[in-house]
Amino acid sequence: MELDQSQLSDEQIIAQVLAGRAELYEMLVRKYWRLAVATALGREHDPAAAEDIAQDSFVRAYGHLAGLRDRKRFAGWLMKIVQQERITHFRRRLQHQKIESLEPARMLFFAATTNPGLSGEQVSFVHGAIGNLPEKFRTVILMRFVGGLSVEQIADQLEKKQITVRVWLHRAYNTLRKELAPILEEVQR
Amino acid sequence: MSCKPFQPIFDAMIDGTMTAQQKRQLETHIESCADCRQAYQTHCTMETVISECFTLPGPSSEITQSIRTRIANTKPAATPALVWARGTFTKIAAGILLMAALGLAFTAGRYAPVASIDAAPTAYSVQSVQGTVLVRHPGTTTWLPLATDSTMYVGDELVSAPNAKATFAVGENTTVTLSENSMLVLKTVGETTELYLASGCLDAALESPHGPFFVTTPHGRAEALGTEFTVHVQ
Repeated sequence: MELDQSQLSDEQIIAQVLAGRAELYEMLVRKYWRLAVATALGREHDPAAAEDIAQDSFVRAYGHLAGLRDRKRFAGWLMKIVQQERITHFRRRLQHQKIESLEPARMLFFAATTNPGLSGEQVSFVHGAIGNLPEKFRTVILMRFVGGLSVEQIADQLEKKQITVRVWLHRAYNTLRKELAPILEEVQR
Repeated sequence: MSCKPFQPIFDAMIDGTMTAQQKRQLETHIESCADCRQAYQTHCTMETVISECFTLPGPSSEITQSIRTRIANTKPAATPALVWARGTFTKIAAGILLMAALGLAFTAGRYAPVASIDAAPTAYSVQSVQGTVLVRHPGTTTWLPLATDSTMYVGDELVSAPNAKATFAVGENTTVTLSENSMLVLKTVGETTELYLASGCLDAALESPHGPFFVTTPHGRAEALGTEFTVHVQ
């Protein structure tokens, strides 16, 4: 009996993909695309590059899928691949001269993603504040508030102790609460 | 600052572990406590702002098609994508040792390379460029100018303008020169090398003996049997 695809867990999707149903990999792409792009955005805030990095990461993850030790931890594993791809991409970029300005692409990207209640500047400010966090703090903040995972789920995905993730998350949260205070006041008015 | 007895509930809210009962308790409490009400509103606003600042569109149909195409030529390998090691230096050293031990030969389209923490695809040097030649790396939409002494990777597409040409090395003693008004894809390099010449002309000089070397065009596929040859797509 065919499983209802919308109810499949990551584990089940990966098992089906490895059994030959490569088309199901797209379910993982759609599920984690937002988290991958958010992670890839980094300090450079280059949306086109972030999408390239996310795409390369999903392809690389597919190529090594059979080697994933714990299929329940696909999200955490993917996040690490995105972080690596971001470094590789950044190094490659240093060797090339960009021939187009970043700004039009960034403004179009923000226009497509911005809540009507938030200005492009506010969104940029938030991205900057999160981008300036240490990598491990950024990771847990994005997994919590963009990925919607709990501390237990994040700890499981990253193979860290829950207490460690809690400490990182609360430190990141408190830092961000102070950094974003002006924006939060504006939004709450 | 929230009331001390309710701090664990606020912590659970941050952790994403607040139960329905805790939520009801908090909602009852904030009706009469201004400080906790402010803290609660600040948290909700922050959660909303962060989430909505990353309310990104899902992958476009172009991106999903690109991923489909790329994974269609890839078989999921039972090799680790990440090498676990403590410390940055140890990670880099472990990666280098792993790549050297396995005699890494990058074959795009079949298996992704066994990756270390700093894994990167094999680079091929560009020996010379005359005029305007553009390169696009796989999975990207940006065309970049190709420069002498820059690097190319498997999957790269090249486009040369009128009066332009580029020469690059593929393997140790094999060079390819792309002529003007041409378009080329570096498909695979390794035990078998394959180039796709969509249009224009290329010259190749191979070492002898050499492994299977193919040039595919819209009209067919040619295998190099000698050491110097030209392929011209009309």
